[in-house]
Order: sequence, then structure tokens, then C-alpha cells
Amino acid sequence: MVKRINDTRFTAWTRNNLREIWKTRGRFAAILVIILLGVSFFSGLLATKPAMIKGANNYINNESNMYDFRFLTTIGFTEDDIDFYKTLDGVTAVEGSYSVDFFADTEYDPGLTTGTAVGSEKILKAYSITKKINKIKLISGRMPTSSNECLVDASSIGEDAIGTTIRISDRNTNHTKSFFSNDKYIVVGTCCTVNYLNRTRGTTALEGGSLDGFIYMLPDAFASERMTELLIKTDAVGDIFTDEYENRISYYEDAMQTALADHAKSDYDKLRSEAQSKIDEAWQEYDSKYDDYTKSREEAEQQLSDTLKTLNDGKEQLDRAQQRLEDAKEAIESGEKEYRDGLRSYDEGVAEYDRQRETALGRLYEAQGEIDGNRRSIEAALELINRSDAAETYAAMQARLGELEALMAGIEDHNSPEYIAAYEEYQFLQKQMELIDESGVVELYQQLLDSQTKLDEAQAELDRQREKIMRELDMAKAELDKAKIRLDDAVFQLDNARMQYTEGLINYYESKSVYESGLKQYEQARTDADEQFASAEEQFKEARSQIEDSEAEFQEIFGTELRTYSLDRSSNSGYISFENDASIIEGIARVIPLFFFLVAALVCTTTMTRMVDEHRTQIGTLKALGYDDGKIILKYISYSGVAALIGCILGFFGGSVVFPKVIWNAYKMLYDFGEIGIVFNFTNGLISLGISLLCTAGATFIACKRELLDMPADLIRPKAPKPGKRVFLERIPFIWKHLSFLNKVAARNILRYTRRLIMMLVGIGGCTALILVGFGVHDSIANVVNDQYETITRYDYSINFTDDMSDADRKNFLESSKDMLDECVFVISDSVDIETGKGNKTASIIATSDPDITDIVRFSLNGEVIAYPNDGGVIINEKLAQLADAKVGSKLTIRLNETDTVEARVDGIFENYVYNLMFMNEATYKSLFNNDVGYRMAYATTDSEDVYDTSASLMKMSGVSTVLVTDDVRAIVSDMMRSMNYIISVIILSACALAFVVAYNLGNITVVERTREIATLKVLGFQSNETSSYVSRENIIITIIGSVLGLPCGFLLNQFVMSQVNIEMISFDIKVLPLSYVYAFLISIALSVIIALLLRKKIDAINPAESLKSVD
Amino acid sequence: MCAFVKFDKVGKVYHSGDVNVTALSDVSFEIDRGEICVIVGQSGAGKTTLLNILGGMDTLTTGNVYLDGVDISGYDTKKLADYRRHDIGFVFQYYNLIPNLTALENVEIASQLTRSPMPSQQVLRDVGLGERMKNFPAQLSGGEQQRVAIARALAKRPKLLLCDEPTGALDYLTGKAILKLLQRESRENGMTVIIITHNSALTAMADRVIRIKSGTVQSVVKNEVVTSVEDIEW
Repeated sequence: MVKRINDTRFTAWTRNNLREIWKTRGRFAAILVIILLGVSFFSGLLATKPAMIKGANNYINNESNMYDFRFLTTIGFTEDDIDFYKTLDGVTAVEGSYSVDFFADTEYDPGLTTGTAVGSEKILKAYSITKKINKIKLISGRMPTSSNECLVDASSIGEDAIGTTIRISDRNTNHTKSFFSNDKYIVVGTCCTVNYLNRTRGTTALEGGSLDGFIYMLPDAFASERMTELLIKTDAVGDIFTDEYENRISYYEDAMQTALADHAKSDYDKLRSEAQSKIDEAWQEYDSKYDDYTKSREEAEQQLSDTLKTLNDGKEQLDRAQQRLEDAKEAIESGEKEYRDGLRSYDEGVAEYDRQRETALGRLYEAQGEIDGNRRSIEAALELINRSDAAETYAAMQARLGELEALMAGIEDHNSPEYIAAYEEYQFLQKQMELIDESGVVELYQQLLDSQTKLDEAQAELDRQREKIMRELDMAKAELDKAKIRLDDAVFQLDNARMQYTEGLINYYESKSVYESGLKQYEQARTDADEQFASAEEQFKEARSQIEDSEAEFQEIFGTELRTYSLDRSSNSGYISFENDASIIEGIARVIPLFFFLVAALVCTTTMTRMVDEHRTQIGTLKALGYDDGKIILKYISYSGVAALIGCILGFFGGSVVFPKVIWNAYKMLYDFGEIGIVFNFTNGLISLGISLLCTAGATFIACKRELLDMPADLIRPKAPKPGKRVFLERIPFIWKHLSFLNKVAARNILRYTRRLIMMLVGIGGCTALILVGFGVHDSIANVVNDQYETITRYDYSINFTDDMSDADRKNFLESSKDMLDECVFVISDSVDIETGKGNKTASIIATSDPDITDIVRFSLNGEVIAYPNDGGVIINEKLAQLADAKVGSKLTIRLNETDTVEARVDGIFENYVYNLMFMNEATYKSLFNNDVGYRMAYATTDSEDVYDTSASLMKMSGVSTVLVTDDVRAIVSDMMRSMNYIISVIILSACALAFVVAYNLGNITVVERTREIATLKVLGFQSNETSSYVSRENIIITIIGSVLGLPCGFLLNQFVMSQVNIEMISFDIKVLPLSYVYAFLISIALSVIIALLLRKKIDAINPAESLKSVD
Repeated sequence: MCAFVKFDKVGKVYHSGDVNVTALSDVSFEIDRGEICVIVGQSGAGKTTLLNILGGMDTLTTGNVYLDGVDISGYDTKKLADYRRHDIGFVFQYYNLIPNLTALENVEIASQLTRSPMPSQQVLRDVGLGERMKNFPAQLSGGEQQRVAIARALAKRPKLLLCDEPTGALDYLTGKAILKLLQRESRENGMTVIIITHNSALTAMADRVIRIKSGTVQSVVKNEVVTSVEDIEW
């Protein structure tokens, strides 16, 4: 280097200048680096927004040809409408497109982005691919070529879905289904679209509230007749977000709205009447057909009922016949019984007769025998007597006695002779006989005769008895015979009856089978008729529901007033939030870099002023040698100018490329499009060059001018050293007395060069402030994740169910998940738009009446617990409250749809960082929204070690549609925060670099400026550590003061910077932790210690003999 | 009695790139305690180098230097600083006062380094600045500043007072007053004073005169008749 400088091609002048640079390369490099850092930070941060916008502009305007206006109506559009709108003033192109939100059954694995499992139900929005306007950008796979293929959302679904099928879920309404020409679509690629510039997919009217992604299909994949929206391109040119473009758009705005409203109105009326008459006709046709049907049905019914009547009559007859038969059967049976009884008693009678006869005959026989025996003995005795004739004489006497008696009996006059004669005879005889009797013979004979008589009597008796018995027996026999005859007659009669019965039975069965076949025929006819009626009814019902469907559709389309929307790009949330995000960068870029750059510039000014001061003698010499002022000034200006120019150019180009890239890296994850442009804002470049040169060359010029005013003679002599001054501290003896001698010296030295002191304070303070901002931003962000997921959100899962969970369902679920879940709170979840000063903000509504919600989500503000709201009240998170300017007790306006709003009373405000949330109880929800959404979600905690194990088990439970693991969400938010941290590291590192260079440079100035003083101290016998502490003491004190002053500035700057940083879904807890102050302070001190060590080398290198030199 | 200051064949070569410059070669002399010694020579003769070596601000290449019987030629920087601190008092041509300190403080900054300094205020009164102790250097005339410098050097009770062109930046009368002060210091307090100058006139006031030329000692002359400063003219 030195040799090259010594090259003789250079003049001595140039050589001197180059050698100067080489000799003071530390200072030259310091200026260069400070300018480089300042300019790169300045132009880099300022270029970030333009670079982001350039990238976005390229994507939006060039690649995609995004719409200028988007027409939407409640009735849709036709080709005719397109032709009409093409004729509007300023319109250059119109293209129609279909779109519809639907429930999709998917089979792809969406991975971490939504945290749900394979094959779950999603809410997607289907769009038709447009050719000219809003062109999609294919990310992977291929474009669809047939109507059953589709492209999916590249960022929220991703290329893993390629090859899978998306089905139109049965849950969709017929109206929704009618949009699709197929019921499933094969994913052939992924794409991104200007409709979704950022990762937010927006809300939907379908249950669930938010879209999970979009799909794109060919127009013929849609079956709908009318297009959903028209994309309008006007002759408005110009880059996005430029006034040129926006003014042109606002110029067309009203005309577009009016044209759309008018044209759509006439369309609407025509369509409405057409649709109405179609429905009316359909009703008429239906009614007349139904009448016909009713009539024919009635006839058939009549016929059938006649038949049934006939059948019933037959049945009655049959029943009667059956009854008769049964009676007959009963009679027969009783006859038979009677017969059998008679037969039995007859048989018994016969037996009795036989027995009696036997007995009677036996007795008779015995009696006969006895009589016969007696007779024989009597007759024998009589024989004996007879042979004596006694018996006969006696008998004759006897007989005569009898006659006499009879004679006497016949004579009434007992005194008559006859009678006396008779009587005398009789008496004689009697005496005779008594004499015989007295002999005994007569008596014996008489006895024998008596016995014989008795025997004869007995014989007669016996014969009489026999006769009687025989007669009785004969009578009994006759009775029996009579009975027999009767029995035989009964048999005959029974047989007869049986024959008749059988005949009757045969007859009955015959009629019965006739009846039954008749019945069967009737029943068949009945069933046939019923079936016919049912199917007819079914047809009518279907026809009716078809008509009702068309009525519902009619109601859906025409039920409300015609609404038309002519939307420009500002209705696209991604478009707007991109502008916002870019503006956030601009917001940061507005203060920090300027601050940064000014510090750098001030430091350069000091450096150059010092340099010129140091060169006083040389300037005098040069002047004395005859160099004119211009040339001398040029020498110093070229020194500082070259450093500034090189630093500025490097800084400008480097910064413009590096900073936007680095920062976009952080934002890229929030947006769907990849690359940003490179923008060199030469105005900023020139401004920074101007400021750089002003602060270096300008300061040099002024310093030189001041020196050059003196005469050369004065210049050659050393400038009178700056006089020492008493400092204000000396006026406070209390402090001054207690300071050590060296501290007094330091105090006086610090205050000796006020300007440099201010420079140093600004430099160090500014850098400390920037470092603190870095930490502050980090604190504000770091707490978001920790506070949110460790303090506020206590649940491990949010579980979505496929259907509303009734009380019983919930109880069942709790019962069956008891082993897995520790706590489980069911909630109603919905998402709504809240009106704020700056447009609508999306907020999630969580409604539940389960008091355990407070165990699972912590509601607090500044350490105070916020009570869960009662009926009619809601609690909202702090950021939402800020945005909507809501306070406890005030009203919050919730947008229900394009036209209607409701108001809710704010009962409390709580800390929540991720998403805007609104909590209320079930009753409040129902009364606010008057809708029937039920408990379809639950927050749950688990005690299990592996949360994913449990989530997998939960997924398998019936009714569970998705399980969102809080750790996954936390990871997503964490990632986002990491992107912010990235920007912050850039700020902290840049600030540290600047702080380092600034402090080193200023320290260096101190050393160079006071070389002589230091040398003198060395001569006086100061040891090297004493010397450097003598110098560094000042620098460290200044650093401490500067850092301490910088901390409050940093706090304020942090507030400002954070207020400019605005990310949709996240609110920050803007704060700076005490430790961050300590860090920022310690970093500054550490930097100054490092610098003190570096300077110590320089101080050590100072030769004490320098003190002997004359002042140069 | 052994010589108080002894240079024994001292040589000094500066290396500047590839060039070797011999500043001193084979310099030998002795100075006794309490003497005023004037070292005189032209610019570039090597007298500043000699002073630097004697003052412990530079090392020598060859030879030895003794002060009060102690060899200082082998000292490292730390020992040299210590040596400067306790044994040497310096008076510079341009005073080298610390502009930010008052006269008194300038004395104190030196005296506080040593073990048994003279009271600073007394020293200042001794040099005739009793009234101006609270003044900053910028508020003092050149002569007054040089008196402060002398007071600063004396306050340490050094063994040796080294003066580098003490009158170089002063006018005639002031210069004389300073020299008188130095002479008084030597005579009254027995301070060994070495004055380096290119002004030969000053040799008259010295007890010993050493002439240097081109890095070598030309002559060492013991001055038998010492002239009072008042009588010296230049």
C-alpha cells in the first residue's frame, strides 16, 4: 500500500493525500463504515416498502392482472351482462367467474398449517379459473384439463394434496350442490391467487365460520347457469397503492356502482317475475295433478270398500253357519252322551234284571223245595190217617160245620128252627169233633191238614209270588226292551244328525274358501292401491319439495332486496393488509433509520472537524507554501468526501438489496407470493449522499474555512489549547470535595469539549436506544407466545364436532373421554366482524354457559381477574377494545351481514394476544344472533404425557371431526414471532455496529487529540494502566451517561415503533422488561469496555517523548 | 564519591524501515550530585535522544546509564515509568501543562504519584506563584506556565531535574527568571539539574558543560567559575 502510494506517477500532493489516508486508515475506515451503516440502514429500510410493493405490483398487476372492480350481486350474471358491462366507459375487459363456499370431504394431510388430521371435512371456496383477469399462478402440478380436476390452495393446503380427491360433502345444501357439475374433483396441482394475497382465508356463511382454503376449477366444472361475479378491468393504470391508480379508481367508482345497480335491477325484476311465474306454473300443474290423483284415489277407495262390504256380509253368513254347525255339533255330542248314558243304564238294568231274576228264581226254587219237603212228610202222615178215615169223617164233620155256619150266617132269625136245627147239628158236630180232637187224631189230622193247608197256602203264596215275580220280571223285561227300542231309535237319530252335520260342514268349508279367496283378492287390491297411492304421494311430495326448493332458491335470491356490490381492490383483505404491512415497515423506516443516520452523520462531523483541527499546522504550512485556500480545502474535503462517497455508494446499494430481503424473509411467511423486487430509490440515495457529504465534506469545509481565516503565521504556531474551565460540579463543593482527584480531572475533561460530549451522548444514547428498541420489540413479542399459551390459553386441545352436541351427547362424550381428558368445556364458536374506526375486524366468538371456562381460559387485565359476563354482556380482548374504541360499559357494534348490525354491551376487557376474541354466555349469544348454532366445539386439557397420543385417540371418538392441538398453534405463532425477531436482530446488530463504530471513533478522537497530554502524563510517570484509565474513565463515564439517557429514549422509541407494527391476528403487550434495560445498558458498557481496550493499545503506543516535540 | 549520573559508552540506533540512523554513539560522561549541567549542541546533535534516555523515555541500544549508582539501562517500560515517577522531574520547552487543570492541580497530578511529595502549594509559592494557584494554564503567561511546570517537577522531590530548552519558548527576561529559579533550586536545595539547550550562552551558569555533536560527546568541561544567571547575556 505504502509502496503504491509512493508510486511516482502521483504528484507529491496526491501522494501526501493518499499517505494521509493510509496513515489514518482507522479514521478513514470509521467514516466510511459509519456512513455505510447509516446509509444502508436508511436507504435499506426506506427501500423495503417500495421493494415489497414492487414485488407485489409485479405479482398483482403484471403476473395476475388483478381486477380493478369486482361486481357481485345476489342474482349473478350472464354472458349478456358481460357484453353490457364491456360497453361501460373506461372498461377494457370483463370476465365472469363462478365461486361458491362448500363443505368438502378431503383426504389430504394438511400438516401443521391447520393442525387437523387426514381426511377431515373442510370448508373450501371453489373458484373458476379465469383467463384474462385474476390469473392464477400455478405453483406445482399442472393445470386442470377436464371438468373433474382442480387446483388447490398452495399455502393452506399444499402439494401433498395432489392426487387426492375432494368430494362435495352431502352436508351441503342443494343450492350449493347445484353449483357443481361433479360430486368429486381430483387435485392436479396447487396455485396461488391475488384473491388471497396473505394467509388469511377469511370467513364464510357456512357453519364453522372460517374458510380453510380455496380450490380452482375449469368453468365447466361448475353447473351453475349464472356466474357469481364479474371481474372488471378498467383503463386505470399505475402501480398498486399509488395515488395515480387510486384516483382513477375512485373516479370510476360511482359510475360502476350505478351502472351495476341499474342493470342488475332490471335483470333482477325480469328474473324475479320469470322465476315467480315458473314457480306459479309449477304449483298450478302440481295442484291439478294432485286433484286428479285425489279423485281417482277416491274412486278406487269406493270400489274397494264395496268389495269389502260384500266380503263382510259373506263373512257374517259364514260365521252364522259356523255357529249353527257348532250348535249341531254340540247337540250331536250331547245326544251321543245321552245315548251313551241310556245305553249304560240299560246295560245296568239288564244286569240288574238278570241278577234279580236269578235271586228271585233261586229263592222261589228254595221255597218250592222246602214246601215240597214239608208236603211229602205231611202227605205221608195223612196217608196213615186217611187209611183210618178219621180224617175223612173229621173233614166231613168239618165240612158240615162249615155248611152249618154258612147256613146259620144266612139265617137271620136265630130262633128259627132251621137255625136251631143247624145250630144243634153244628153243636154236635162240634162236640164230635171235639171228641175226635180229644183223641188227637182229629187234631193231628187237623194239624196235618192244617199244615197241608198251610203248605197249600204257602204253595199258593209261593205260586202267587212266583207269578208276581215272574210278572214283575216280565214287566222289567218289557221295560228294558222298551228302553232298548228307544236306544236303537236314538242311534238312528244320531247317525242321521251326524250325516246332516257333515253335510253342513262341507258346505261351510266350501263357502269359507270362496270367502277367503275373495278376501285375499281384496287385500291384494288394497295393498296394490296403497302402494300406488304411496308412490303417487311420494312423487307428489318430491314434486312439491322440488317446487319448494325452487321457492327457497327464489327466496334466497329474491327474498331480500337486490344487493349489488361494486368492490375495488380495497375490499381484498390481503391487498389491504399488504399495504398495511408495507406501511409498518415504512413506519419503522420513518424514525429508526433517520435517527440512525443522523447519529452517524453527527459523528462524522465531529471526526472531520477534529481532523482539520489536528492539521492546523499543516494547513498553515501549505498556505505559507502558497497553496490557495481552495486547493487546501479540497485536500480535506477529498479525504472526507471519498470516505463518505464510498461508504454512501456501498451503503446505498448494499442496504437497498440486503435490508428489504432480510425483512421480507420475515414477512414472507405471511404472504402467498414469493419474491419482492429490488428498488433503488435514487432520490433517497442522493439525499443520503447529500447528507453524508454535508456532514463530512461540509463539516470539513466549514472547519477548513475557519482555520484558513487565520494568517499562516498563526496557523503554524500551535493553537492555544482550549482553556480549562471550572465545571458546574465545582460549585457543588459537597460533590466536588468527595471526588477523587482523577475523577475531578475526568469531570473537567468531559465537560471541556461540550460539542464532542453532546456528540458522544447522542451517539451512545441513540445506539443504546436502538438496542433497547430491539430488546423491547423482542419483549413485546416474546411475551405474546408465553403469556398466551402459558397463562391465558390453558387448554391443550380444541375439539370440533361434526354435529351440534346435545346435553346428552355432551354427557356421553365426557363420560367416554374421562380417561383422556382432565377438563373439557363445550363452547359455541362463531366468527363475526366488529365495526371499528378503521373498517371491520374479524373476531371469534366463544359462547358457553359452562362456568369451568374460566379454568381453561384465563381472563385478566393487569393482574386483575375479569369476571365472565352475565346475560347480555360480552368480554373482549384488549386489542379489539382498542380498535373498536370500546370501554367497559360501552357498546360494541357487531356486523351481522352487509346491512345489519347488533350491539353488545362490553362487560370486561381481558388480555389476549393471538386473535381477537369475544366471550359471552349462551343466552347472550342466542339473543344477539338469534341463530341455532349449538355446542360444536370443546376446549379440553389433559394430564397425559403425550398430548399427541391423546389427540389421536380423541380423533377416533365418534362425533369428533377435528382436534386442534394447542402446541401446534403455538408453534405457528412462535414462527411468526420468530420472523419479527429476525427484523429485530437486524436492528440490534445494526445498532450495536453503529454504537461500536461511533464510540470507537470518538474514543479515537480523544486519544489523538490528547496525544501530547497523554505523553506528558507518561513522562510524569503514569503507568500504562493509569494513563488509559485516565482517558477511558472519561469515555466510560460518557458511555454510562449516554446509555442512561438513551434508555428512556429507547422506551419511547419502542412505544412508537411497536405502535407502527400492526399484525392482523396478533396484539402485542408493548413493554420493555427491566432485564432489557440491563442488557441494553450492559451492551453499551461492554462495547465501551472493548473500545477502551482497543484504545489502550493506542495509548500504550504513544511515546512519552512526543511530549518533547513542538506542537504540530 | 561515585558519579551521580553516569553514561557509559551509550549508543542509540533508530530503525526506520530499512534505514538505521545512529543517534548516539559511545557517549560517556559523569555528573555529580547537586551540579547544574548544561548539555549543549546543535539541532540534531542527539541531545534530545540523550535526554530521552536519561529521562527514561527511551531505551538505549548499547552501553549503560547509571543514576545514583543504579543501572537503568535494562529497565522495561513499567520500571521506566516508575523511574520517571520517582526519580525524574521534567521541564519542557512548551510547558506541557494539562490545560484542563489549574496551576495547583497541575502540580498535584504529579505530586500525588509519589510517596513523599512536597506540599504542592508550598512549591508553587516557592516558584513565586502563591497568588495564581487557582488559575488555569491558559490564564497564565508563558513564564508563569513554566514556573508551574518547574513546580510540578520539583513537587515530586526528584533525584534529577531534566529541562529541555526551558527558555526556548520564553522571552529573554522571563527566560532569565526561569534559569535563576533553576539555579536557586540547585544551589539552595542541592538539586541536580540538567539543562538541554542549543544556546551556548547558558553554559556559563553550569557547573559542568557537555557538548554534543553528531551523536558523540565532543567535550565535558567542568566550569570552575560559575556565572550568576543575572550576568549572563544572550
